[in-house]
Amino acid sequence: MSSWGVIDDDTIAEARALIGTPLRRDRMQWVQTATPDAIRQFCEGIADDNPLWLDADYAAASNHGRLLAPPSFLYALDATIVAPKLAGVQWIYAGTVFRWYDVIAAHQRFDTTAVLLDMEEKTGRRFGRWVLQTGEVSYRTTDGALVATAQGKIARTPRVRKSDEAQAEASEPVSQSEKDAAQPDEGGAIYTPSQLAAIRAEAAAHQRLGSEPRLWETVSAGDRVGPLIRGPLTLDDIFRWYVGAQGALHYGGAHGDAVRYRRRHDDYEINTKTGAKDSAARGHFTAREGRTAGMGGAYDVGPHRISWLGTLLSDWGGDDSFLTAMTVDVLRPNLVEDTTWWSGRVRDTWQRDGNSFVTIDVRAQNQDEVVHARGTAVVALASESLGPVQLPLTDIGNDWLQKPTR
Amino acid sequence: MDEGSPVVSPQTRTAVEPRPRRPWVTMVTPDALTHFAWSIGDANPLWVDGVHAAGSRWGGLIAPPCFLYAVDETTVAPGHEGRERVYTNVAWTWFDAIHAGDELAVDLVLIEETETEWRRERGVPIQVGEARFSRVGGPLIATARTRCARPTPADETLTDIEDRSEHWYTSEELEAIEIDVLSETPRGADDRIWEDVQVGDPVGSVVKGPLSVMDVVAWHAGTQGVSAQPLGHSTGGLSEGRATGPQFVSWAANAVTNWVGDNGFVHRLTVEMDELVPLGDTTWWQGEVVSTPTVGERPLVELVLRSVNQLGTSIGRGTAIVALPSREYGPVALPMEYTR
Repeated sequence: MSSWGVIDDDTIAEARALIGTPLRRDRMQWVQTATPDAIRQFCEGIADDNPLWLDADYAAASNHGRLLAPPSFLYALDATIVAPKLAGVQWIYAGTVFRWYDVIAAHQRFDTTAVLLDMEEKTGRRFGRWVLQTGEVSYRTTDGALVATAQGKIARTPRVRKSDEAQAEASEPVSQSEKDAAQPDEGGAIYTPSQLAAIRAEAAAHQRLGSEPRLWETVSAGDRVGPLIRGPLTLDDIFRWYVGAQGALHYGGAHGDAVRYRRRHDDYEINTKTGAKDSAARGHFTAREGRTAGMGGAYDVGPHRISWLGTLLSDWGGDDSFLTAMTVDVLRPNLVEDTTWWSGRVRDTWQRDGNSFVTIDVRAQNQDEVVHARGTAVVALASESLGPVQLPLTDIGNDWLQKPTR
Repeated sequence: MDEGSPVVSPQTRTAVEPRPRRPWVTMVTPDALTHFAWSIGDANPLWVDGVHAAGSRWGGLIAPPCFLYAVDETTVAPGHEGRERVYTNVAWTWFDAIHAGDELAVDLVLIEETETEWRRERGVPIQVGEARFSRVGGPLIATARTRCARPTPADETLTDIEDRSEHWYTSEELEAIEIDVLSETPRGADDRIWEDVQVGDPVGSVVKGPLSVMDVVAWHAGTQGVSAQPLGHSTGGLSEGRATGPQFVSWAANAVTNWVGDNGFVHRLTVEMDELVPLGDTTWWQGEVVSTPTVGERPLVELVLRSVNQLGTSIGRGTAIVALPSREYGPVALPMEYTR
């Protein structure tokens, strides 16, 4: 197929024609029901051991009175990847805008719908033309109640081939050159024993507020949130995300499912060891393939990293808080062996429609103090003046999405 | 089970009790069934398509026999930490169908431990155990008798996956594999009647491969996760770049369930494997009918199964006993009796 892997006027127009059209999601839905098994599997994938998601007795005694799924569980219900057409053009997860209106209760079954919202053309230094696709997924219970929406952003960049490895040094939009300098080849340790011990101690010391309330009146602009530490990242961590949140599904599945998928869709790479068609996910599993993808090594999955932020905000807000909204841009790869600190600072506190909110500017940075993800979150808290968080929430609008002044 | 190498200086130990593992799946849900079917590339609608399954004798979704691996991986090999757990043989027996909505539990029992020379290593512990599956609060639904060898780790497992070579296929070989994959057809609603089965009838094949890392990811996603704590699982899997023993067994079961049809029942499956399937290898399972006995009033079919890889090398063999609907005896009567 001559247009395979090509970003030009024709292939862009072909994708743009799909804006607003409901799209098939069967390849993006890992689970339809938030079963306790599925919730536990997802939580293993993001290393979130909050008993509100895992312990039915604990959850029954909470003010929710029932087991819940973590807010980021939405990624298992629909991966938020809305990236139609542009066959053979690789996709890089660039970010999510989540809005939640109610909790995700265990045993709830969901219907999801997705539409492509926008195609933004960009020009990069090395790659030339690339495209940012934004799509919106709506998550509804089978009764039709809207529980959440997610806007997924996907960068579609020309695929880096073996012969183009020099080009891989700095991919757009995930510039990588400074990290390559800091990242030794596999086998080299990037931490001293005392640094590793400090990381482990910090992870062990992480506090979850749990059943204690965090009252809105006790929170002020400038307050620090977190950090939550995740790392050093291992291949097993990446595998745990895959097995808990998506399996092989996004790449057409495994075995015969993958064969049938790849006969219909030109969405694969050739495995350099076997010659067979293989998934484009291989860069997540080996340093060599990750470099070929322009990432500098085996790299994490964007939604995995964003889900860690969900854990931080639930741990900070406590069981009675409600994560209301979150926007995160994935800026740079997080590689195997890297350590991530998610942290935030309260920008603003406000009340609206009977609920009390906190806006928090958040960022993820690594051991080299490179910020590799950034965003904003809104958490609803119980307050002395307005009482417990009232669910379902009415929409909070878009003021929180305004860029903070720095 | 007596397959495998002759046992030297047999002795039974009971000092180390197998520890229960946290199951990956406790409840048979449509999502869990789908994940398992996806994990082995099993295209049978009986496990995933509620409308299709409602038309079968089961009246709804049932689980493929080896779905039980998602409840427990069945390795019973306690102790000897630092040694491998090589899953060399299994004898599965199923007594009843596993339905969507069933909540399942397992007991693990170490039956026997001996030492023998195994693949040129002396003094290798051999552990025979049994995983006993039941509906919670209900009768036994299946057992898996497993045999695990406990050698010291082989050096080759230390080679980084990235640096290992894999089998390179010509485009003709790849096309032939794809054609084999695409021609796999579950028997489905068209009953395979016992009286129509002849000794020598072919079974299968199914083909899995060239094995890719996503295939192994899919297996873990459907059955066992990637635990941060050691759970006593058998050797193989994602961290080693090889299919696990239970994965290989599930492929064999896929060949059998494709053959029996919606209203047949797989009662028994034994598999013996020579080595774990590495990334890049392709595995075929096929077999044939060896007898069509009646036991009591029950019409059965015995199968032998063989597995070869892309080099034509034999890598495993098995047997199966399936119960089929019959003109004379009627539908398969369940549950099947529990006999030792």
